[in-house]
Amino acid sequence: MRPRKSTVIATHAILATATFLFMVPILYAMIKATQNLGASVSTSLVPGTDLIANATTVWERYGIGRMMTNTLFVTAMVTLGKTILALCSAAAFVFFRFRLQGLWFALVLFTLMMPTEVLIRALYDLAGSMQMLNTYQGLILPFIASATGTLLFRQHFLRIPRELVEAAQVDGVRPFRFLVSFLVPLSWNIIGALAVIDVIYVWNMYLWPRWAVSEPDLMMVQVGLVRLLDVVDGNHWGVIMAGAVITMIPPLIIFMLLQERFVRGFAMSGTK
Amino acid sequence: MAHVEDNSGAPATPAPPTSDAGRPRPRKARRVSAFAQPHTATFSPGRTAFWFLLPTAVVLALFLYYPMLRTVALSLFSVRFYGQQQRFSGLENYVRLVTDPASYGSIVRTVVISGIVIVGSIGIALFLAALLNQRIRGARMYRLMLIWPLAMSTAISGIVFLVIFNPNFGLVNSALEPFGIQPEWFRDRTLAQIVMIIALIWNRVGYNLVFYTAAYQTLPTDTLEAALVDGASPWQRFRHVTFPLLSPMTLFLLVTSTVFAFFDAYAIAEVFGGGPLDATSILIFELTENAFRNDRIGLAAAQSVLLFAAVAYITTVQLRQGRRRVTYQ
Amino acid sequence: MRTTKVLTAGAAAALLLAACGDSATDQSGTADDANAEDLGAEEDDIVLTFWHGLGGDNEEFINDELAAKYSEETDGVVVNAQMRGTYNEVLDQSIVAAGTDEAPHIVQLYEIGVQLARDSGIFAPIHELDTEGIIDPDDYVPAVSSYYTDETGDLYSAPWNSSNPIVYINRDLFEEAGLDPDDPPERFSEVLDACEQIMDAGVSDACFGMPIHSWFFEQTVAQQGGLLANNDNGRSGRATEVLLDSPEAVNVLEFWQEMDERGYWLTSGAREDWDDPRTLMANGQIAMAMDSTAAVGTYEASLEELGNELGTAFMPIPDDAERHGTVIGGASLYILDGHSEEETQAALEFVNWLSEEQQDIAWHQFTGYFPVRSDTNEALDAEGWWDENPNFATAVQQLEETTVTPATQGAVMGPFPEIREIVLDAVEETLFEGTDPADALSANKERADAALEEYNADVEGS
Repeated sequence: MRPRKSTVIATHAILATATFLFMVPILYAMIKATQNLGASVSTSLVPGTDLIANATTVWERYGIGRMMTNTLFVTAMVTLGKTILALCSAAAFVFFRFRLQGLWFALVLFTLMMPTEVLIRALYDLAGSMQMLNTYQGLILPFIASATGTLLFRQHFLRIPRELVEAAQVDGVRPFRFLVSFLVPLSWNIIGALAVIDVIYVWNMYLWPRWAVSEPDLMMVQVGLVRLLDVVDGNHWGVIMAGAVITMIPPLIIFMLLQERFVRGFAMSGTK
Repeated sequence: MAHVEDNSGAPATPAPPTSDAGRPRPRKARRVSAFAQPHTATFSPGRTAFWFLLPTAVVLALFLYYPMLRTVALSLFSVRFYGQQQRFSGLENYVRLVTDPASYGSIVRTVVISGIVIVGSIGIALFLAALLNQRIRGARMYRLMLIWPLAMSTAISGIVFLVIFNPNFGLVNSALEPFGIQPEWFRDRTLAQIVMIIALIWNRVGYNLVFYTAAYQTLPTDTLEAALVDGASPWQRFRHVTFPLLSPMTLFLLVTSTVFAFFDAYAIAEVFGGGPLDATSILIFELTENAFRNDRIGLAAAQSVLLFAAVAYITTVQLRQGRRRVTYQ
Repeated sequence: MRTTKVLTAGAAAALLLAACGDSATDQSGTADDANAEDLGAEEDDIVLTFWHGLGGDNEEFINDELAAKYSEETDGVVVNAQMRGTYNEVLDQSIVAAGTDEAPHIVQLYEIGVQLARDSGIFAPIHELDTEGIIDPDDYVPAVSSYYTDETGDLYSAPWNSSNPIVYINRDLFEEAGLDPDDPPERFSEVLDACEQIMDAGVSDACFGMPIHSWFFEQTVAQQGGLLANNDNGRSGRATEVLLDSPEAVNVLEFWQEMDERGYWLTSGAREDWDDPRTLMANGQIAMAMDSTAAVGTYEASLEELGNELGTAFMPIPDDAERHGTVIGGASLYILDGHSEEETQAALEFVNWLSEEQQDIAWHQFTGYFPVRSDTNEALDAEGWWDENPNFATAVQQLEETTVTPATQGAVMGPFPEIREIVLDAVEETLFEGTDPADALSANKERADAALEEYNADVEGS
């Protein structure tokens, strides 16, 4: 049964309006990014011709290029770390029996409710004493363990047929080999789904990188751009908006590449 | 979204239970251990698991459990000079938080702002997901544009909204000019809070939409078709069939959005400087100001403990309520 | 077998650790060694670590024109300058790093951190160090160095980047409005009159801009000879009271409120938004802005782009007040305690070098911070710099006309950063919510006093 035509039109009207409203800030940032100093601090909505100049200024003079690299590196490392550690710990919970297993699992689960934000000062002092402030390690290591990932993979592993595991054991496959050669190939969709979540997560991190790094060379771009508000003379909004637009590019690419896998991975983990 | 480790992620949490597994309930060790039993053939000896678990255990212990204990300890001290001087002060910090009228103000503010953001971002996302799922043309295109804001870091969204609502040259006031109103968005407490809420909802809807879209893919077509055959109106179908089926996802998004609204909103608060007059100074911002700017680490630690307790409580209530209400197909 | 397990299971984490470890050191980690090598230090060189809070172009200048130059000129010493965030973060990180091998030698901190820095106990007062033949306190302009002397009357930290507030004027807009830019308003009522004329002439959206920042409040109070804290601004004994309800303080907020209510003052409303007046001025939306001298270059450039000419004037004061002068703002350089004698001496030498004539001139001309050495002022005078650059001269004249009293020495209070926020609460209540200035100030005075009391109790209780 097809929906009525009027319903379809109404749906389109609502969606188009919503889409427009949601795109306004982005379009606005894009327009401002093309304007010169004078236009960027005026009400003008006429696209200018300074896009390249603004992008170059923010990229080179204000170091956004360097900061983008930092963010991409941290994102890649955290995502990789979370994936590897979660695969291992999920395997431990599913394919082994060991003492206090329930307690260990509870301890991992409980961290879902422990936001690093509320621990910020203690974490900062800890990182300070480990000489991890103003280092990549400081930005990466505290975040590479993943309760979410452990849960996702665990649920997935639980559905792996018993026969497969037994067959592997009969063949004398060792646990680590089993993880790499059997579990990982079976988990790409989940890995993809988790990667999307992790990328969004790291891209949005703010509080910790804001305080853990104060040297511009090591700053993540989301922090660096806020800092630019104080650094760019007379607030050349064109330059700052060019920076804002640039930072959206990598996550957009990742969304487009991984969207399908995300939905599939999610569907696999979410239902029978 | 969360810097919190990953409350973000757990679609697993609200997902329908698989086979005989119960849903994770960290509070009750008994249930958990039953839950945690492997259901498949296992490798032995169990000791090997140690090496698999070690990296996760080390990271969680060092970067979450240790700082948590340290925070609790710090909350019992009067700390000065960024830790240089520490004096045991018992519950003084807590007493101060409880007796200071200003702290009630910030609690109310935080709860109201967060509440609107949570409900707003989930409600809008659900509405849009429902429309997008009507198999209309261009749904992919709409969806891609609707989740675009997600590509903008929360902090950067804050900057963009600062410009859009700038009273002197911003988009909103120039659009309002024909109507002769020129609100001073950052001079009025309520208006500034509204801007903050809009920015947060704008930034978050995409995330919820992604998850709802994924959840829609998993809906059992037979149930939906049965409802269609019954001749139920679209609203009735949504109200009585789709919405209950989506409830595990709604529950999951409630939990993650809570974390977002309480913690990730820091980025916006910082861009707005917490002002005017503390209007956008939510608890996490105040806590951080105390920990890093005002040199009151002990007080900040007490705030941390209370905030942690509050979020843990809210999350637990949501999960418990959810367990009662959530419908599994 | 066991080894294999260890290797395999731990491989993931190890790989990751290695990856971050490498990149951090390769690119720009904090390990002194890595940086020292980058900077061309040799085996036996002393590596001086200098932490500061200046970003953007100033940071570049410090790296290229100061640190690198000094390292090149000086045998056996390499300066590693690092921008470490806001001044607050610089102090915080210095305390966290003190006693570790990461500890910096020289730390730049803002003026309002003076009491906190001293009480923290991690710094060595300069007057207690062997400065014989290295630093002569008399070299510094007295109005500047007086901020950084402690109860002994001698230097605790070394002056470096100093500024004060001046008024920037768009001369063209002034002329269009029929005002004489060479006779700018210097009294509150003159400013109001000038603004009225500017508004009436309709040459710009509004008249005046200024960051909503406590610094301007403090400065205007000091100009009137008013104290911000008791015990001579905390100079003759620990301050125990913040004098927010003084007539001088009320004068300031009454003026601000009037400027705002009449619509003369255009502001984004954001707290400490330094860019706000600069943007408005660049856009021709206002004809006057009160801002730091350190922004002179910004205003010159942006008005030039606008095709207008920049003028400068002294900061305005109440009609019946006498001009006492400004409190210097900016920052000074502290020597961290606990380094070897040799390194400390090297640090002192670098600190002195930073404000030696040549560097002082370059710094002033690049940043707009005024010279901190008397010799420099004379040299610039002889060179004709002031005549050619009257906008740079205004701040210096304002400083020269300052009489050193407790009021213009500036207040020292432990929780000054927090008190600044409290002052701004009073300002925002006045501007945004129409609260009577005197009421707003006395209500917030209680909060400021409480913060002070708590701090003092904590410090004395130690």
